[in-house]
Amino acid sequence: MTQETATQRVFGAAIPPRENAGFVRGEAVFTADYTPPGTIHMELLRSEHGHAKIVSIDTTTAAAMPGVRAVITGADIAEKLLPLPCIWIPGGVESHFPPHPYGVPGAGFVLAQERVRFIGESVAAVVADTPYQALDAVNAIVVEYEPLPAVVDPRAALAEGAPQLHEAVKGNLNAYWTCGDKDGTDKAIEAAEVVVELDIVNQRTINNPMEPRAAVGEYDPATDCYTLHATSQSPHNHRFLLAALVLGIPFNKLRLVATNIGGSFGTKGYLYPDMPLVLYLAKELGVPVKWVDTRHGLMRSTVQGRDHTQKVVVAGTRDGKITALRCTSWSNLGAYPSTIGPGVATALMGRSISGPYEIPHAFAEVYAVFTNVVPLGAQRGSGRAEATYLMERLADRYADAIGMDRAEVRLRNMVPPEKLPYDNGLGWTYDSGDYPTALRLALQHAGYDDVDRLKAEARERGKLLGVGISSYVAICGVGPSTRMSKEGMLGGTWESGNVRVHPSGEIAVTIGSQSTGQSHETVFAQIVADVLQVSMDVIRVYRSDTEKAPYGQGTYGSRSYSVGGPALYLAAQEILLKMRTAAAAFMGVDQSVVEYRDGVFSVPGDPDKTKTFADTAMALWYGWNLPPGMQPTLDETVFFDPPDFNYPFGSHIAFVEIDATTGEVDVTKYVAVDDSGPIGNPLVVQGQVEGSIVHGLGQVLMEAARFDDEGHLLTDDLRSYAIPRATDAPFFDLDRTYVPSPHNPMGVKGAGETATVPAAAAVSNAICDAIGVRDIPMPITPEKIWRALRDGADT
Amino acid sequence: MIPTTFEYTAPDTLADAVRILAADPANVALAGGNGLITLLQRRELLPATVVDLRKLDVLRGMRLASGGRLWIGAMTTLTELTDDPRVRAAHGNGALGDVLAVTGDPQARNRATIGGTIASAAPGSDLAAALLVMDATLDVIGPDGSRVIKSDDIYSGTTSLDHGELITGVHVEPAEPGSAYVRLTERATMHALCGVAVTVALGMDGAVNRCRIATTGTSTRPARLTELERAVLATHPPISVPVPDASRFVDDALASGEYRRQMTSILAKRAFARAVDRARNA
Repeated sequence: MTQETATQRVFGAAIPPRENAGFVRGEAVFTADYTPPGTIHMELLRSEHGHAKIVSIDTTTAAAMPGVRAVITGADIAEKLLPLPCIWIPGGVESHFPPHPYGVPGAGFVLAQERVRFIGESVAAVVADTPYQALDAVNAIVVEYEPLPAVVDPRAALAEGAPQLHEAVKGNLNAYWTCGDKDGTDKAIEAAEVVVELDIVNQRTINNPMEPRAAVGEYDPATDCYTLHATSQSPHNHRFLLAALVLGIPFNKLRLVATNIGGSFGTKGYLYPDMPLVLYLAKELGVPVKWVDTRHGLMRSTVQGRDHTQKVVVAGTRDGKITALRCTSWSNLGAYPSTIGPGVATALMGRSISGPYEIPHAFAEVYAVFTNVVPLGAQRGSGRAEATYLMERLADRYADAIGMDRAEVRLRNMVPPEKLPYDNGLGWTYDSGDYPTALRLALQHAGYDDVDRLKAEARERGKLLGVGISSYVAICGVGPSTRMSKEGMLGGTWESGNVRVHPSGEIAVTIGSQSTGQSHETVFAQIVADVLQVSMDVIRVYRSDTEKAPYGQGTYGSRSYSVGGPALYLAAQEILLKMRTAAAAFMGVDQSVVEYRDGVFSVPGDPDKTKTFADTAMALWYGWNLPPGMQPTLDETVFFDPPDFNYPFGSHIAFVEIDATTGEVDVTKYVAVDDSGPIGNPLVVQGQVEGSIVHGLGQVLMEAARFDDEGHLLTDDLRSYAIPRATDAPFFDLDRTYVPSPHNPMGVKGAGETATVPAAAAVSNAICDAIGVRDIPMPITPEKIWRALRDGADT
Repeated sequence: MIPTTFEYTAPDTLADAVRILAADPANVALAGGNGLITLLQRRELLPATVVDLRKLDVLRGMRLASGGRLWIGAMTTLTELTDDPRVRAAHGNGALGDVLAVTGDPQARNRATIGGTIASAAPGSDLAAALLVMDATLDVIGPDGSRVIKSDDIYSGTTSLDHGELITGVHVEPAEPGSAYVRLTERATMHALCGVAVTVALGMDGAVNRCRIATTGTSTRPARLTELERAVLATHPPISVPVPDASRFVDDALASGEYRRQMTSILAKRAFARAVDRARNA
């Protein structure tokens, strides 16, 4: 399908991201590159235990080591730095958290107080002249621990007699959260002709952005102000939370700057202990304090993803109509709630379980549980990926149970386009879309009618070919602020855009959101270039500095482009309107006769009357003879709070070939038909789609965080934790449809994480199809496939 | 990377390198660095002095002796090996060529040296299996002089080198008419989860006249499987390889010993198929 675009429009053009050359050449500046004069270095001592009492900490030797400026422990800062807060809690239900003195949900101490609850928890900090000296001293700190019984499984944590993590959280249960129609669902399942059940472990994965986190704290005694450079994908929000709830200082006294960020996948939208620590120490010591994490540190302290253990049931008729869906899920929050972890684990997963299907009765319940592992956060597609995995696995199982084609079952149960907007009964109202059309298009790309022949042909080559379909709807564009408050978000979720036209006619675009590598410098410039019909070359995009950028909430939940984009679009339109009014006045005509094209205001039929974009900007800068009431200059900011979310959707089809003797699996072809509405830059979106799919392939084929019973992380670097490589990318066959969202003036929808949502299920379905088994738990390694083949058809 | 403090030196002569290396049990040699730097990064190794071998030209280059025996300097990179016309001609279409095609990635091969790869003895080293079947020997120099380590002794422990010893070169015998290396890849390290190298020579009657089989990644160290070699001798292609005895195969987080044991038989069969094909076309 093609997108309808006017010729020469910049919006929709496949412009290579202009920031990429700097990244590739190593010129782009990251937080770790920022070293103000006099900087000294912080290293953290992290817990070696999953759960232990801290009996004593002896810092004497460490403090006396060369170059060491300070060694601090939890006791030193107990009265000075408040615990971290959690700001997305399970909405609408009773929930329990570690305490915070301001009465907000607590998320653990900056440095452990008396107890450690996960491997990697910060226990002490050392500041020294060099990072080498700091780490030497960290290793010289002697901590006497008294190990406590640990629990790493969420169901075990709920059992009577389980080790208890937090006094304020009885039975380790953060919340029991539900959505949907429990009684109706139970009855429908009981009455159903066909019932299919599965136990699913959507295993814990470790986020591995290329750049680990970093923070540099500065304090200016002359103004009593702090500056934090950090890998933060929500600079304004983190500034607010750090100032108000952790440092306890006036908002006005903290500035947060995020330079380039080398990937996130959701990990950098959280507060971490290092952020307040470098600021506190910078003030105490009177010099800038810098901290840069390592891969090993990242893997044991940065928020991790997925981790739902589920019992799921689908019920339906023998002729292919799904009548009910139920999901019981135990979500492993880890030892502390991360900044937004509990909300991700409940609403984003539970309300999404029915996917693109019209299911009369659906119900989800989530036990959000604390255990002695690393805190849980988001990972690309979080919640929605776990929901889609269970639904799409069940759809295949149900199709098999009634002997119906798997595509046919999906087509029969998809919400028909005429029923949109559609209330899914679980809390989401899908905005727009045509789900069957996307699936049919994917089937066409896949040559689905020819699959039997392909399977036979593969068998002759000694390969087992399998085809897996996975259809999805992914809530994106977080989000409408009032609605999000009902979902437990303790904050606003609007976004902003600012357009300032310089007297030269060049343009500064400033956005409230924060790129973590999504080509914001290009795609946001395209929006403005398109509205104002000017060259991309005259536009610069600014962001990331709370002192310079308009307030914004940052990058997560596929919101930068679908919430921040419209804000910028509206700001550019206000600029154009003002310029048109001014140009008309300067030309002495009514603005209704003024035409604007390619940077020139003109009056058709009167060639003497023209005014260029730059002339108009200069005139507004001078401010001479402006129309009555018009303010000088061109500087417009729009804050956009969408009326509701947006709901990208699509269908993916994976082809796998399995070596039956070894169990090795090769994803030979991957068809993806996605709909993210109108596309601002197809090249950028293609990159996101391909990366997202490979991310999903990582989970289904190789990734798994493994903890032992004491909470030790057994996969704590890239020698023990596999992630996909470029050579693992399959052949992609990508297409899309273009149904706009009614919830923003551009019609745009999220695209940065949507393709991860169906990917694991597509491959899992393909593998089960190839070898004729019911289910294989992720990650589906060659040995698991080999065993499934050896042990028979229904393991 | 924040390693502990260590001294660094890049000696100009082999004698100096050996002397410095032997002076302190905590001194280590640096070749390509793929292994060593990772250990320093995690502070898993706390060296006193890192002895960089990069200036030792005597450890570089390759020499072809009469009879086809090839001497490869220890500091030769895997990329240099891959690109060398003599290696291509004699081994490109055999176990060594197969190893060079799958080991690491181009960046790793640009750094990795043959000596460093052998000395670091990483579990699942592809090269290890090939060296065992190719009857390679090592030239080693240490504080007590030079010695030669025979193929079967290379992997007798984690490494067969005594402290202070350096590999100076590797002797590779002329390739058998047919040889091959196949593996299952371990996703994180890109080493072998189970790798099998074979060589084969067929007699006039078409039966297996000589053969060698070696595995890597399957047990605590790479090893020849002589009992399987005996079982294969005198059989006719297509060669089937029995499932080896269970005792040597280890369970770990990556795979079970049972899987590795079954795969050894399957991969050996595949390697033989490729090797026989090569022998016939040689």
